[in-house]
Amino acid sequence: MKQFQIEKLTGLVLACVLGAVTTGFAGDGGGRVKAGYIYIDEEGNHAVNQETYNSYEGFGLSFEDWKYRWDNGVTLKANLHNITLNNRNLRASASKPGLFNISLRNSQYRRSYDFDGGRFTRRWTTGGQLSIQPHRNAKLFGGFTKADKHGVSSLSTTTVSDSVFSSTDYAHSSYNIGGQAFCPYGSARIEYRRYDFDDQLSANRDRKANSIRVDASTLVPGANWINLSGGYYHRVNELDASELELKTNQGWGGVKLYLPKGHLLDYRILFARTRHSGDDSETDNVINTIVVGKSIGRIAGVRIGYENRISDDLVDRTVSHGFLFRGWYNYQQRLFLKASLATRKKEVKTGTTLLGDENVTRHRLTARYRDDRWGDFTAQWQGRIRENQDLRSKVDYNAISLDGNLTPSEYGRLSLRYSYYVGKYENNSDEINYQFSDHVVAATLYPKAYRDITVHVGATYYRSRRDRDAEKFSLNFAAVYRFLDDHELEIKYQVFNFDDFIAGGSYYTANIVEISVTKAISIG
Amino acid sequence: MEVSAWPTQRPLFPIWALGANILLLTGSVLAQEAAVDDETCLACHDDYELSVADSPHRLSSQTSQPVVQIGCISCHSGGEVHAEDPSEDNISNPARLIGQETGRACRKCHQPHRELDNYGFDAHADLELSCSECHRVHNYGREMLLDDRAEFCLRCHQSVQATFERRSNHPIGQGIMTCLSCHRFTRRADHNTAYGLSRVCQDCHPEQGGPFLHEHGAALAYEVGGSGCIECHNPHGSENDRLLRLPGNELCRSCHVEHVTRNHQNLWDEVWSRQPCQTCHIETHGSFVSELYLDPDLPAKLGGNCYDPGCHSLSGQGGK
Repeated sequence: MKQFQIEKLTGLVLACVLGAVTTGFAGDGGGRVKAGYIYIDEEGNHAVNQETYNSYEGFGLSFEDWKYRWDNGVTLKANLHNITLNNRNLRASASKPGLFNISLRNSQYRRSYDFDGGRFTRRWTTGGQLSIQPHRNAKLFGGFTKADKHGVSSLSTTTVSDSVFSSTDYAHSSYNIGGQAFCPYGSARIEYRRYDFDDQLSANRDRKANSIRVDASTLVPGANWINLSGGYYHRVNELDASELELKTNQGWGGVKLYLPKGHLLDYRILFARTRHSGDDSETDNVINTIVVGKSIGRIAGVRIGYENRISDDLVDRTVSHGFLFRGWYNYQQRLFLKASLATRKKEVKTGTTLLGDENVTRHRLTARYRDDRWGDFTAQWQGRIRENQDLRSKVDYNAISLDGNLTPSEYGRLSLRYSYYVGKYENNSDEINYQFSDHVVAATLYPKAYRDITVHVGATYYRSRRDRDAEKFSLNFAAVYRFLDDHELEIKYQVFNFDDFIAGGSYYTANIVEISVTKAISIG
Repeated sequence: MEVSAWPTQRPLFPIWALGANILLLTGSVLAQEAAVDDETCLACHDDYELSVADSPHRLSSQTSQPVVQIGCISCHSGGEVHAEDPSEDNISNPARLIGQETGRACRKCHQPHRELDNYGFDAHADLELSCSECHRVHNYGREMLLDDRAEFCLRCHQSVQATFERRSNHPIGQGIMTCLSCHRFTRRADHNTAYGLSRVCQDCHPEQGGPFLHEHGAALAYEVGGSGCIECHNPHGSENDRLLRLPGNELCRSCHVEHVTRNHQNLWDEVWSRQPCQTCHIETHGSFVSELYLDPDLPAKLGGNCYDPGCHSLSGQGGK
């Protein structure tokens, strides 16, 4: 069935291309063919959370970066990665600027929950989009996406729950069709979407959704420093087995004023009314946002904003006030400073909610220095505090990142990164207060190419102390030898290691070797 | 005539500038500076035609049957002066402009998506990032993006990078996803208030989507007391299973602190102590049969003890 779909899609692309390309037009193009073998040696457990979970051993064949362009502007592209393996990722498109564009994709990946291959989930995704432009000011588009997933997964990968598994088998598809009209001042877009969810294990979960969206934006003729925008969105989710329904109507609008001397005023409003037929509830959400700012060319800028959110279901009502500050300074394209601070205070005005009143504050400071000869260095400090007085809980974390790229042209490139993440969680129960911290150190070296040989080597070390005491380490090495002008021999070696020092026996090790030959081919 | 490479310096309000801008927007693209053709440009910039040949910006002069008229001067103004006296300073380059002015250059043909879709705080617009900060016209990548890999975004969002190293994560590192898989700048109007579960999450996890007869309010973005999937999950990465923000029962207890003991302490303490909440409350995203989100197959799994008369029931009524 799926094979049949792919063949149908391929036929559609070919039909479009052949229809658009008349004989007599010359063309040229090319791409790369890559063939190789991937060898995987792994042992341990908890494979689901390792980077290797979607890797497959076997013969891999890829057609990478294929392009063919005719003189009349029609271009055909294809990027078909690992056609012969289960982690294939295929993309193809055909287009002519101003006339049409058609794109297709197919991919799949899996997650394994044990090492004997008995418990895994696999997802296939196939999709396509077509757009045609019958007029320079109008575009019609439509497409589909289909995702199938099946398999068995564990609800939790902790030792205590290893016996709890659940099965999955569903098909999820969506179709969309719409149009866009544009003129020099602005544009308008309308789109209809349909979703279908078909659960093979439980028919009472089958459902569908229909949505329609209209958005428009324009500069005001005669005053193109004023931008007006707005839209409407309607969506209905329905269960097939009952009359259960979730219906939403949402409208939004905004005005942005580009004022003299780099000043800016931006106001937006959003209103959404959502009705759930299960408990016959109706919830309104209203969001008002206003931002004022000033920019001095590419040198500096500042933004100050306020956001008001009201959520009301006639029984409970919450109001939140948010403030935002952002500023940046750019000194001669060498030193870049950026700071932001945002707060949000939510209060329950009427009724009671599970979470109650809540305060959130977060900040971020960034400094970057760039030198054309030596590279760049960046330091960043980010923090967040979330307090809930009703639950008497508090989460407070800080993250510091240092990132450097040394690029002396005569030697190559060295990339270094360190991140430190620390925080604590408090609750009214002393039993579950705890601190957590993460460290990540990573380095990658790209030496300058020597004759026809290019290599790079990198390593990442990660240590986490949260509820677990986990350590991860990975090493990767790659060497490429270019020969006969258009051939490449590539050898890749990767090592992954994971240990959990609290959960006894929780470890994972993998060695992956990939040897491949790539040939560049030109056509025309 | 000297043409500045920094049109941002040009005042916007004077009437003559306003008129010029309107002419710029409404006039035929090629008619703006017809005196300079592509051949003149390509005589020096001989590799530039190839850099856009496969793209929507393919030059009309190099196409046998062009549908749209695109030339070098469609984006770069000041060609006449530049042809006489080649210099970086007398030809405009949209890549050097900042936010609003880049948009003005690109919007001759494109609608800036932050104007069509955006509302609320927008970090990228607020920082006056320009189209060229993310998009590239010459030697472009997918979607005309400078680089669509996660590494590109993480250059600025460095603090997020460490979270993807955690034990449970979204597969950014494996290249299966990119930041753009979830953070869709062109579809921001799909605000979460319009959905049960977050719209973006539903695309890949539709099995968790409702509507359910018994909703878990915290998981619903539109609910007065809920904030969507992120109430329980850290979408970037977590040391806990399933991207959960807190380990095991602590996550449930962080909200249901009055109702849940640390372990399942009751008459069945001996048998069912130290069980994860999810052993029984399996349908935490919502349920059609149990307002306590209990597993419909629990009687079969546990031998029926929990649902004996006088004890628990699927509906939660009459339970202990």
